[in-house]
Amino acid sequence: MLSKKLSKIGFIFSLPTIVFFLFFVSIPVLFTLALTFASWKGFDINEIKFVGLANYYKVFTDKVFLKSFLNTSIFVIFTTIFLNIFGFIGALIIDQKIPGTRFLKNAIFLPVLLSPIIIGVMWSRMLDAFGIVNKIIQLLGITKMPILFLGNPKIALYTVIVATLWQFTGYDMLLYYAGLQGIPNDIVEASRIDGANEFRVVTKIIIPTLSPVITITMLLNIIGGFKVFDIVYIMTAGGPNRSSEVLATYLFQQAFRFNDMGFASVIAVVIIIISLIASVIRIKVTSREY
Amino acid sequence: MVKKIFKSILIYLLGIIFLLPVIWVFSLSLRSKKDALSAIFFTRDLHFENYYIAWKTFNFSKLFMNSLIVTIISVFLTLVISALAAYSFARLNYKGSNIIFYIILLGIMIPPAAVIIPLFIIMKTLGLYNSHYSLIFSYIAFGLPIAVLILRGFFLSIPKELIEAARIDGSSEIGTFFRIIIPLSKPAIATVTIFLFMQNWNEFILALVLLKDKVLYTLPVGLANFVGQWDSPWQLVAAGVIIASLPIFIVYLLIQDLFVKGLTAGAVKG
Repeated sequence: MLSKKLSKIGFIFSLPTIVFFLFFVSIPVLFTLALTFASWKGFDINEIKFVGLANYYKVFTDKVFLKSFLNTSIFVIFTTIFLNIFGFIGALIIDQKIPGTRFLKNAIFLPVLLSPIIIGVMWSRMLDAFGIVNKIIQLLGITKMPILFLGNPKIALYTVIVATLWQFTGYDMLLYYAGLQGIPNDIVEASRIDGANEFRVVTKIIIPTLSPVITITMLLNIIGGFKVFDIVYIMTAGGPNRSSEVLATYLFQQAFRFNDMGFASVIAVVIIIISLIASVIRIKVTSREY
Repeated sequence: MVKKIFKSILIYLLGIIFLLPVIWVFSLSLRSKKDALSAIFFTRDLHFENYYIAWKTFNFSKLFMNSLIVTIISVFLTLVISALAAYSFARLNYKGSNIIFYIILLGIMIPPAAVIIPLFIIMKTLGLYNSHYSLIFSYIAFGLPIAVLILRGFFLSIPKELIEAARIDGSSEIGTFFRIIIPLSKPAIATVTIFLFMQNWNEFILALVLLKDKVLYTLPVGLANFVGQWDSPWQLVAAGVIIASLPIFIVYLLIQDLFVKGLTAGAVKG
């Protein structure tokens, strides 16, 4: 009797969450899925037309979509690799008992606190033809003409990647730093006494012990990378000439500039599927490790 | 000893090099209109009035107000709603509650960008488009999964006996929840609060799509809107960047450890 009453209360307690989730997450996901089979400009609901798989055909043969998929993958690969390397090295540095490590930790963590919009605004100005980077390059006589970091289709995407690395190194660093605190000191000390040098301590003891942290951090970077929007939108808006277009910016453009909701929804579904795969892997990894 | 001092100097130097972009923006924010594009770093004549002009031009009073309203209301409601659900998933299980919990967990990975079209339609249909409600409702929905996950984990660590003792003493479930569970869960609630606060404070794409009137803009959209016009004076943009960054940085310095825990919460649990 009591448990029946409790389960009723339990349901009531979780009802608001269920309602919000249903209306603003579940239904939108299903709606997106439905829209992939439709042609619609996004204004009058009565004008939704069923077109079968036409949108899928259009998207998967669309050069810009393939380009933005490739760009997103490049973004994910570069940010994941370098964020982890820089974050790990940063964690090793701030894990020492030397004056200044606290300052360094806060310095590297500062950009994590800021919105990617702020980071994008800063870096766009810095790398502009009149920005400090080009001033220094010209002062040193490396090139006469300013380098158009965001205007050159060959390097625009990589410029955005560098800004992203600057922003999020602190995040990975703190995850690794937390991991380092979990390694018992005596193991490290013992191997030092046994004559292991710093390099061996890192490669033979610290990295293997941290492998669950490495996996989680990389997965988080991958998941974050595939949905990147803000910093690309503010720095290049996908340009020049689509050279830095990513999935989310292309979706945004198709939906709200060209009003092709069906086309945009296919891109959305691609993002959802990638996110779900990554999340399933993440749940599997975490439930195994902890 | 010498080695340690040398290392310490290197570490300070590294920190300063890392902060160069920030220092440069700060120098830019103090330049005269004439020096804005020509100088490299700090100039002799400093123009602190840039901050005042930037505050007025960006309409920062409005932007901060809007961001605060949207963020505080959405974070508070997310906490209340998610804590109730987390408690029911932890201690008041009902038929199907586990399945519902796992479905909600999947929501952690749905990026707002992926459902922006239906959200736009739904908000229009509900008459909430171009109002702060549209942001508050979406932020609640997208904050719930991680909040439920973290709080449920914490509630599970509270001994069952405590709850049963309260029940025997005649306390109602809602009474137990507010008088026993919530006071015991302050650390977890603090973590979730900071995580949600930062997420909603910096959120961009939903605000970009769901708001039309400039008077409703939150900080990121307002900033993007202003700097999107490339003729906007650099020294004012720089001052705006500093103004927009300062509050969060100050709060961070006051409660560093909580912040780190809150911001990395998405990584540790789950």
